[in-house]
Amino acid sequence: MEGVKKFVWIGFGLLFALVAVWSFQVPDVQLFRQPPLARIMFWHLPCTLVGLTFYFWGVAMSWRYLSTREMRFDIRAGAVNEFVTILFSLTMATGILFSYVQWGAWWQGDPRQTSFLLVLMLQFAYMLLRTAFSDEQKRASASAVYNVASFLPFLFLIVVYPRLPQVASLISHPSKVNQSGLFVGEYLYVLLAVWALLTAFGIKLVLQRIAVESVRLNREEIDGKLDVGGNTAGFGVVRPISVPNEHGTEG
Amino acid sequence: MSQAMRFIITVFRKEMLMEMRNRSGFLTAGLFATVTVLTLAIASFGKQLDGTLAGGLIWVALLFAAVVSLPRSFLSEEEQGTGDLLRLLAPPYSVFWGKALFNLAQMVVTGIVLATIYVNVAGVRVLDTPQFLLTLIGGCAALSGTVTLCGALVAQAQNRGVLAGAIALPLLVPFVFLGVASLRISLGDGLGGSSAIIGVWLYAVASYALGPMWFEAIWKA
Repeated sequence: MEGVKKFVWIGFGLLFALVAVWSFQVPDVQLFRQPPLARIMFWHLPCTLVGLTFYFWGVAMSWRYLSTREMRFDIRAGAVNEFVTILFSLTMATGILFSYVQWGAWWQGDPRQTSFLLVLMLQFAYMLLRTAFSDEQKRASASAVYNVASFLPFLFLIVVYPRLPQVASLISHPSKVNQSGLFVGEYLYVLLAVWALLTAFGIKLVLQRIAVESVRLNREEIDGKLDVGGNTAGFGVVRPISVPNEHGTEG
Repeated sequence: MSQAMRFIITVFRKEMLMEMRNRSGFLTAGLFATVTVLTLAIASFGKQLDGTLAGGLIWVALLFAAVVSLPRSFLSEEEQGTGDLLRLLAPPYSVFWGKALFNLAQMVVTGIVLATIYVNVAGVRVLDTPQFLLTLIGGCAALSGTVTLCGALVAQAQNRGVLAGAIALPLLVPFVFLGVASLRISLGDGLGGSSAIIGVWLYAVASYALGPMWFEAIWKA
């Protein structure tokens, strides 16, 4: 079983390498200043799209936590948001790199680039908030509320702001080029392959993280109730225990 | 008067009495905002600022004045050990509304004083006073609602003083876009601006309508 698990990760590594090689087999796009390096988009765009999908999953899990107060939903929200933060950071990094190689400046001041940086700041703020609590219940509640509360500003930054009339005219982001039919034929297949691979990798990674956190939580619960021999704590030993909250569930 | 209203007024009065006793919150916000505005005016001395830049600078000063002073309303409860008593005695919605409304009053006074000083010192002309005031008041409402919630979120966290500002700022920047878009038009830079001012007020309404619900989820956690 352990060997199979190791093979899964090696398999992912091989598939990523294979897709990277494939991306260099497709012909160059002449629309850009450095056509060979326009391939950054094969990674930049899927990172954004997969990140957005996982972000919605994270918000849904935070919402479920607030409705049910079950720690498993907080664990899921935390794990998903960790992956989202990594993906959004990669989106930002590849975007900055693309900006440098195609336009000669690391930072363009492009409205879409700026609004995405703010989205990244929202993610960092969420992760920062999670590290600031030692009490798990308080951390879960505060971070769930923040994740749900940041949903509207998030939508504004991703959907509304780049489309405002006074902002849209200033955008130099190549999304217009993408819409004009860049991703057709083999280009589309490579993009879809990276997208599918990144999604599968993300699901595997997040599920693994959830499993690890669930085991840790269960272990703390067991430690609180019984010692290794199955006995309750001895005299003078203080262990944390879970008590029913106001909804009647143990937290 | 309904019981809910009585609870809210009681919390509001409590906040006001606390503020009257030590005055530190209002003085901190006032001094911080005044110094910020004067610094901005000195930095642009001799330059004729356009409406966009002037509007942006006013919002930057207001934003930082808000994140420095408003979270205090919850942080001081935890520092003085009165938070648990408040949890026992008052329903969550009244605590949120009472504190948010007090913060709103404080922020409106700070905002109007700050904007008046800035407009006079920087030599900026306000061409549409009603829109200027509506934007300021709507913006102060959005700031107070959001920062009060962030103060409540971090009230029991480590490094809460700094953390409140750090988590509030990313939530508020989208609103600042709308605030600048509306304020610049009242300062004579461009036309229209009705959609931006509606956006500012919607942000304020959303923070006050959703705030109590979210607050309830964390207050007794």
